Amino acid sequence: MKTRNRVARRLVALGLGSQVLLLLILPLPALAQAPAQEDFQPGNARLLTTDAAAVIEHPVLGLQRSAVPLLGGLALDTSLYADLLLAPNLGLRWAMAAGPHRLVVGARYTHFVGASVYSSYVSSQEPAITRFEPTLSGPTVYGVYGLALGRLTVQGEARYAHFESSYLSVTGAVALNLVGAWALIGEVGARLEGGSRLRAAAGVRYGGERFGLALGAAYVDLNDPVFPGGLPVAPVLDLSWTFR
Amino acid sequence: MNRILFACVPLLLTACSAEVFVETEPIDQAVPVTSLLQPVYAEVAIDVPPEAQGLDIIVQQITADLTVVNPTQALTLEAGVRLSLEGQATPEEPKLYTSNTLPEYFTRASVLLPTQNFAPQSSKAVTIDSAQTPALVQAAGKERIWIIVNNTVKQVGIGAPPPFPVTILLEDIIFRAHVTKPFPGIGGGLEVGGL
Repeated sequence: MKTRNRVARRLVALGLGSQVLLLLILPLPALAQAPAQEDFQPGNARLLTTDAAAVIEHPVLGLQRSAVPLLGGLALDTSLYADLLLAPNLGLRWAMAAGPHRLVVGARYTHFVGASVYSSYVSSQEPAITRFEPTLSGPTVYGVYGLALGRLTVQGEARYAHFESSYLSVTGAVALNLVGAWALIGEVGARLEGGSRLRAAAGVRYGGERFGLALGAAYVDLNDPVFPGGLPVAPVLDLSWTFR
Repeated sequence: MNRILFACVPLLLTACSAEVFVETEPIDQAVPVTSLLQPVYAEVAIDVPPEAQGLDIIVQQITADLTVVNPTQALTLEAGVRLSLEGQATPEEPKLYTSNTLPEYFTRASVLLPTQNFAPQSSKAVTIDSAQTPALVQAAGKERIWIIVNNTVKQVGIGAPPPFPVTILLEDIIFRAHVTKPFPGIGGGLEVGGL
């Protein structure tokens, strides 16, 4: 475990370090003058496993995030995935863009209502288990700061949640709009609480004017004894439709 | 339980803990009595259902229900029950001891049911609760536990005693467990779901 943590720390340091290095090496003025990500729309303002440093300007229906913008950069949002898993959640998100700077802060509350449904299913599959009642209720708060440098956006996210146990992570991410509405995305960070230390994800996101799609893989390292041999990697899939 | 929980991966990706209630199928166990007036110790092994094993569970409560039946026509049995986390018997083959051959771990076994009289042709329902008997909690997480029954034929009714061995029956042994299964290390599951 210590070795893994040490490796994780190094990888995290390497990831964050490489972003800093990238910023130093890349000719910033040239990037600033590069075409902005006009073709890549923020859609539901998600990258792969983190919130994007972007303003949600239009109502959007998406699996990871659905949202309705209000006034002044505020938006009401929810994770449709969690809603579908009977963990309804509602968040308030505020975002602003000033020059190349992007700032997002948000909070969400999740209230799980599916205990009896899951219990019925598990009991029907395994009669020895008379009741199986999962719990998942609690608040989440997060903040994202990003720097939009033409086709490249670099951002950092901090996220804290408290359900039955605490979750805290910090994550750096880059999104590089290569061609059309497609962006390459890389995320690397650390879970300080609530999971194995290293978190990372890589994939692509299509941010069209209306349609949005993300495909990728995330290093989640679910190491609970329930998962024989662990579950190191989970797929990332997000679909969204923006109403303009 | 692993198989079932693994089938619920989408759920587990969002759950942070779960309250799990397990009830085992009723089992019967016959305990032989082999001598008169001298205590006999019978050790029987019970395999703990996988649902109540390991998995980093937090035991909230375990109860054991059983009915002690003395089927003999004329023998009053003085019997008590202990729970041991060590033993030599297997589920197929009980072990019998006398006072002279009693294994040293007998003294470490926890008393589940204090020694008491069971009249001929009587049955007595017994509930053992981990609230009163904390040793039961230790049974969770073990693959096998041992029940050691001490038995003495105290009183013989009119007429000649029946040929040994006779048996005392532990019927409808049912374990009920209420455990909390935390999932402290599944933050990664929250992330891919957008929470």
